[in-house]
Amino acid sequence: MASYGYQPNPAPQPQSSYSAQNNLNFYQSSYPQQPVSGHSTPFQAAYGAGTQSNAYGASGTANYGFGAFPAQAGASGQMGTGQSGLRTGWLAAFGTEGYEGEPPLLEELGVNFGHIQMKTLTVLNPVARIDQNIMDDADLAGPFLFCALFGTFLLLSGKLWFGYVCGLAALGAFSLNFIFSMMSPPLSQDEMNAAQSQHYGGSNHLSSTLTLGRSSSVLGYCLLPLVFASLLGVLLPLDSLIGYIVVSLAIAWCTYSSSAMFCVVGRMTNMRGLVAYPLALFYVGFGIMAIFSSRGTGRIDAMKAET
Amino acid sequence: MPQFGGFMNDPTAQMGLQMGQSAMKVGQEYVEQNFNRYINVSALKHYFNVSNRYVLSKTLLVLFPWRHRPWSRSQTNTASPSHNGSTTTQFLPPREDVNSPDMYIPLMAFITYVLLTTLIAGLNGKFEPQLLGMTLSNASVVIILELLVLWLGRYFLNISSESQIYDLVAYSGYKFVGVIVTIAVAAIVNRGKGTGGWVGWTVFAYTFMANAFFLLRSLKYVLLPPDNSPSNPSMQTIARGQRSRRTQFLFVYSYVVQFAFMWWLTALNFTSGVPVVAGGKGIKGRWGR
Repeated sequence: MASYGYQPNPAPQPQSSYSAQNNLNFYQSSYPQQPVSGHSTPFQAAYGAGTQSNAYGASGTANYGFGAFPAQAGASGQMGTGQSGLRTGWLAAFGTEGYEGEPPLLEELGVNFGHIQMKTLTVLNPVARIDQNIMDDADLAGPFLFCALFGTFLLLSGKLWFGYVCGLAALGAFSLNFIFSMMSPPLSQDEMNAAQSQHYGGSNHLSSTLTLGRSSSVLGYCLLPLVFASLLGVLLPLDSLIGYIVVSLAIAWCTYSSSAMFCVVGRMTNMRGLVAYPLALFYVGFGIMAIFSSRGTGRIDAMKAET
Repeated sequence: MPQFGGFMNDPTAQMGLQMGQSAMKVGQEYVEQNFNRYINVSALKHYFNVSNRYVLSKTLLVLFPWRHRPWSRSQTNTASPSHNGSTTTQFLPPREDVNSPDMYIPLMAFITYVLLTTLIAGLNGKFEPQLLGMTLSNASVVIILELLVLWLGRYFLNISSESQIYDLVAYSGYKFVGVIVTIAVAAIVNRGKGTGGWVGWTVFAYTFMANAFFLLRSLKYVLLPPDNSPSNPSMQTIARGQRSRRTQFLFVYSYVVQFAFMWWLTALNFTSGVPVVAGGKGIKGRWGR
């Protein structure tokens, strides 16, 4: 690998004196003309457990091409020596270890399955009490999953409408966030200061406790009943009376839970009906897509054929 | 101890990082300042400050305006923010005054109209998701044209205060309520075959007259305010000639303009066939179902 993303500073670093010398040496000669040594791990080289020869060996072992992540600017003159903590060898290459002190992948990505489960159960349980801080970590992993599932079930019914689902979700999220920000009582002055200073939550622009991230998160989680309805639509045609009833129930359920969440997060508890109506319209949009995507009883195709 | 991400210790990299951070901060401040210049958030919040009772009574008012008695907006005397001892009068928000215009009802009516036409088209077997977008664009064209009329009227009528323009924008959206009622009733009676026929035209005529009456009564106080009211901030009496010009505008606007737009909106019923999109095939042609 010839590309080193980051050229280390060849000047001696104060942290580790021994490696400063190594650094100077390795910087020129680290290219893989060195004999590959299977014995010394880069770790040992980093800690100076071996002698100079070990360090030489280690430098040739691995040019993993991790150009951007040397362990220390001083200590690792070469990216690939793995002084950053990567082990060498075949087993390590196929393993799942990484750098030392690295947080787990899901935690790094911000995907917290415990929270996702808690929020999903809150949606599914119509009589649950909603904590005001439930939406403080407004993640979008759950909503994306639900939208993808909805699109997949529509696909299994024969309609490739992922783009429309995505467009409706995005448009609805923007406009509903705007409407509810306007409807919620304005932030008091110290709340505005807090929002500005630490990004603690709440949008300074629209002067409310709702942000686009939080709104999208709530809307996405509350889409779950409609996902169930579309799953049902794969099995039985939604274009019949029972289909209409099921989808209407799903819409009512979605609206009920999302209006509860918005009222709590946006502090608009006395306007729940007014909050519920735009949400009902939003979910009716999805419901329309679910109903008219089903293969149906043939009524729709017959109508299309006769006109 | 080898550290992950040690390139941050490099002074050059740190300087670059700080520059990036300050650049982002400057950019954000710029956006915030200009955002507040284009959209007056606190003024808009006034129009969404509604209550359940207000929405119900206002919707009934739009459909049955005949017997409503006082049409003037209530005012309140609040202490002036400049603390010089004088009081400024402001209009009460919609929550406390049923005569005050709001933007919640027009916005909801607009979206309901889009969804309702799409639903009816779907029940007729002509659903495709593009319909949602097409109806939305069509209705947006109506709104934009109406805003254009109001904007031009603002110059002709010399309306200076900003809140008046927001009022006019809010009032222009109330016709969607009548349009929705027309389409819904016609769909039920005609079994979704469009808004033609006796029932459709009768309901249309009724909602049109109700909307015109409502606008005439309400806009009288917006365009021809009595002196010494909050919508006349400079306290100038409006000249005679201008008053008559405004009255003419009011009549033309309430009757002719609204008639044209309401007719256009109710005629978009898509039962005569989906408007041809470029390529002419639509989803059915592409997927062969």
